[in-house]
Amino acid sequence: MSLRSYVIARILLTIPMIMLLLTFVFLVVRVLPGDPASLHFEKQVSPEMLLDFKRRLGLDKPLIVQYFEYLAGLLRGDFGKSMQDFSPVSQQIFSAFPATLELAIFSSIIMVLVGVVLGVQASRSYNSVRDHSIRVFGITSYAIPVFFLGEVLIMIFAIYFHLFPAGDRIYPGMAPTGLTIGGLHWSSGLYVLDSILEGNPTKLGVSLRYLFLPSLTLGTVLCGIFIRLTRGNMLETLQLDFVTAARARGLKERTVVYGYALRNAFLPILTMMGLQFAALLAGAVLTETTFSWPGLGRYLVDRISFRDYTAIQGVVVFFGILVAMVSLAVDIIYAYLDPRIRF
Amino acid sequence: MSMKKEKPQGRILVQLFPSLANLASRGLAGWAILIGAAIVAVMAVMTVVAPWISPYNPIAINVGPILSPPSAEFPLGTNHLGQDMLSRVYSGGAIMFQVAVLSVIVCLVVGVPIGLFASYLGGYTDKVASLVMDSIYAFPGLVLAIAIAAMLGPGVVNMALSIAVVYVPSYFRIIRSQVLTIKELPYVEAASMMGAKSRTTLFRYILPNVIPSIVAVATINFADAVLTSAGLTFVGLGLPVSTPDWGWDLTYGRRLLPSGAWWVIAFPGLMVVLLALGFTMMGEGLSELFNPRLQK
Amino acid sequence: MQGIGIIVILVVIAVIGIYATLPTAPPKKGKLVIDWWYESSGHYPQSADQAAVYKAQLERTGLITVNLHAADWPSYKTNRDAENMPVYVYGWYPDYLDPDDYIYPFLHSQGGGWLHMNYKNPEIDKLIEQARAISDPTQRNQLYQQVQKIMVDDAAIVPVFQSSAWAVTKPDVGGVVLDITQNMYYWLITPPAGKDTLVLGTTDSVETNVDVAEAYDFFGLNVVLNTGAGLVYIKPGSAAGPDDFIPGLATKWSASADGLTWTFDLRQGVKFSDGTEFDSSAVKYSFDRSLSLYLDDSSQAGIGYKDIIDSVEAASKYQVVFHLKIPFAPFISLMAFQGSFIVNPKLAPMDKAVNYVEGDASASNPNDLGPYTLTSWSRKAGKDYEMKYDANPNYYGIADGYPKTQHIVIRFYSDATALALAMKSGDIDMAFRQLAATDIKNMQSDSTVKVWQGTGAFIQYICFQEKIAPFDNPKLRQAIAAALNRQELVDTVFLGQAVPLYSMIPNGMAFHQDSYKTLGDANITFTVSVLQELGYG
Repeated sequence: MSLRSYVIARILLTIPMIMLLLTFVFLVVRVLPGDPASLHFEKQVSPEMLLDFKRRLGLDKPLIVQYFEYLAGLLRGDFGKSMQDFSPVSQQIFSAFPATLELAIFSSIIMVLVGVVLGVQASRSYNSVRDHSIRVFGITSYAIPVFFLGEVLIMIFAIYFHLFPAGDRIYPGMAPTGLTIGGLHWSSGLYVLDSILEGNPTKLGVSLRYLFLPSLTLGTVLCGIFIRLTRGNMLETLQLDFVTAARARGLKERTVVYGYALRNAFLPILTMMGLQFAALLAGAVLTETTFSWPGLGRYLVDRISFRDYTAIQGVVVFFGILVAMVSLAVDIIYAYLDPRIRF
Repeated sequence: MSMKKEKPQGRILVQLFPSLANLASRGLAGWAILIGAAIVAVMAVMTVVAPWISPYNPIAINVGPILSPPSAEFPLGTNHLGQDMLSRVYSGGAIMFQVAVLSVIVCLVVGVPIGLFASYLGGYTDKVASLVMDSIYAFPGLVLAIAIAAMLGPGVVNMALSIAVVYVPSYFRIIRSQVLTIKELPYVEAASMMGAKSRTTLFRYILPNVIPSIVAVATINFADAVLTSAGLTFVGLGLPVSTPDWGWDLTYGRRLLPSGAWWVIAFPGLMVVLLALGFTMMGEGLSELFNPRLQK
Repeated sequence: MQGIGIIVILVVIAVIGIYATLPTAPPKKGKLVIDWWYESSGHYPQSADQAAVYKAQLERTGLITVNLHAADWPSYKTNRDAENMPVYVYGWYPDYLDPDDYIYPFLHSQGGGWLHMNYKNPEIDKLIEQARAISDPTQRNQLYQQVQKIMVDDAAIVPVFQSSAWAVTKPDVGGVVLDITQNMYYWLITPPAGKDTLVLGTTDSVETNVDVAEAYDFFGLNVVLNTGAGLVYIKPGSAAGPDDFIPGLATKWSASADGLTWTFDLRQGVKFSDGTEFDSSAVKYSFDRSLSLYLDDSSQAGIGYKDIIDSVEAASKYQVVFHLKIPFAPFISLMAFQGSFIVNPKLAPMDKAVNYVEGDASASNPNDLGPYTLTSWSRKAGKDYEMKYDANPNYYGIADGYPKTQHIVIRFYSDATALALAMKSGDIDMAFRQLAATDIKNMQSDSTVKVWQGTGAFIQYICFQEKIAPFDNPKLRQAIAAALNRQELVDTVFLGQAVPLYSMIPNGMAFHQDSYKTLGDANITFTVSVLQELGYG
């Protein structure tokens, strides 16, 4: 099957998955007890007031109509209006997303870095104490609730040693402004990138300081699987002929390991990163709550206590689309690099 | 595979169920299972005998000074309500065990039949079921659990249900891949050619061989259930405060961090890690024994 | 086979054992079982801790079993309306500073409808109605004495504590006033030495907007307070007694003999930001607008302005007359409330509320006559992020030296822990709302910060659903109330940062009586005897 038809087929498969998720979430969230309309009223509310509120949000229409209106809205990029202050949910999601994205990126870096390095170390000293302790570490790190690890790190590094801040993303005034050409402004929302674009090393330093503990937490908890993957892959590869040949040719061990053998693991690692993306998002929700990181995860948790179900729905659907796109991208890259697996 | 003169299903079973003695000789996997099981058993027993060994009632307030660090009198310190942390740690696992057990039961009751029938029947049923399961599986589990738990409200049963919904697909996938393999095995084909009804084939030949994988997945499911229930409690979807719960102490303890009271989160947290670790080790070990090359 | 079998058996034993030791054991026959509800999403301070303490205290009687139930705020309100919670804990911030605002919405059968307790006592209704109509303090005092006595006899609602107000600042910050209004008067605060900007941290957030016609949450009203102006003010630091009202945009006021007409003489020479002069037409416009918009979630609708005010008349350029529907004694108090503040007609359209506009602070704020102007307001993902205030050059109080700080920056934090850490690390000059009890205790012994304390006006109380037996029995309710130990609650949960409350009217307010003291605290003997009398045990 050609690459093109694989891509098309794959994209077509994604659509029903997203639709399913969407419908499921739509229904789940509509069955919520806790009428959001009464949320705004501390004292007695007349039926007319309640109806007016519902009308403002389009909640008085039958469920089917609401469903299709929602679908139509989504195609336009409109996720509905927040029940708290009637502002567009899409605006809020897009304003919170960069924070989560930045956290995800840096956590992934740590996750893969730590995982691969430790995995390689383990494979090189097969069956030794070092190997076993690394493997134990890999399993244990997954067993630690991510918020517990976060709290421990806060306790040690932020409160006791004052090395890192204990929460939030940055303090006001330090937010990088990104690229400014002439009078035009563009910022990605990713503070590290923006501070580089702005050319401001202080802001870069501050951004990284705030980013460090949350990324370390999330990255550590998820690195276990990369340790195992790398180790397994390396163990297999290091016994293959071409490696023996390279060694025989007198290449340094390090070149053999990192240059040749590791390259073999590249594809599985990439795929695993794609698969772990969902776990990354899930972990981000808890990490953001622990570190008061203003991303989508914290937004979701906040919205739940407001029964702002347009917002909850929006976030869940957005996550679903993200995950679908990432897995699509990974599958396509994989298919491109390895013609064997195109269906 | 050796050919013993026993009923076909018995033969396959025996191959796949090692005895205890064999476990130890199976190397690391065997040790992992034993250690993991030991950890779980110890913690289960601790939770059960907690009422007898706790020095204080875990929910009685002001049994000691508020927020005092670990001392001779209160080995694990006291929390902000003057409750003894040691007693709370002894009995704090009850909720997690209940939620985990319930969610596994629900998963088994729901996931196993769906997995068996869908993959055995194949065709349209299989495609639809796979699509649904894959969609749920691909999605960040905790987020879905949060959305469902927010809808259902607090409580052991509700938490278990939310977790179950998220993990049913794992069971489905494992069973499906196993069934597809076993379906092709010559003796199974032979059986159906000899006129065995579908139901017989399914239950007498396929199911017993799928059980080992189910056990492996279930054990890992326990670990995930423990962690997810802690996560749900952390975002506020847990239980009322009257029952001592490690997840609750972990959640509340965060507020006490600026004043330096590390012991309120440290010990319950350690317990959660241990419990999850115990189940994970069991699960990993079992997986390695039963599904040596299975992708998760 | 044996190995797995053993493991399975072990796990099964464990499971059986765990279910056998289920923590919520069924209550023994004969004990009073209370399904006690509390709110779990942080709307009230430390409600889970409170619940644990209530449970422990009631169970000390030996005759009561308390099953705790939690619901997050939206569900809690739904349950309240569905009337399915036998006992539930609620809280209250005052709207206008008058005892009526603490009595009418609770003990009056109609006024208390929102709480859904189904409490009706025609005798107390009459007394309450009389008390709101009369302005003579001596007579009102008599009436409220009787009201409070019936309150305890009926024990329909049991006040528990009143929380103090707290603020933490750097040592050289001054002028922080924490009085019964719970307002934070920015214009009284003096900045740290040598600076003209005060950085304030808070965990609050504007819930809807800062339009007088809609804002009804704590922080929204605070913005109205500091950027807008009202006809009268309660003297900061006072007890909001009848003599404690000071001129604002009005210099003189009086009521007719029948209490149905109030006349206000307005301050002259006050200008809006665009130079237009303030006069009676602005007052009339503001009230006409609020009353015609009467938005569902506005303070006007919540308090029932339309039940009180009939019309507003601009009698002359600097005189306004309010025609009331009923004689309302706390009227002047109502005028001091932010819901009665005056907007700039040019910034506030008659037909809709003014909402947050991204990047444009002046378009987001129709208040214009106060000590500060909101010059910057940014939000991220629906939550406030930063606000900046600059001194208003047109403010009428400049002559008296207000505001004392030229610039204010507000930083919003997501929770108490983040706020506490920011204060400790010196990132902010002042922290106000909400810090956890342990943090405040911690900071009291920290010499790098100064802790301010004032009377709070926030109260928490226990409600009984009279549709559910046996909570329709006043004697039983009294028994439950008597078993509570308010001091212990306040000491354990709030580390002494709240005070026990024995009446719905808070400590420090006019006409307050420690009425519930007659039932006693931790009066286990009383509780036990009543319960035994009723057949429990």
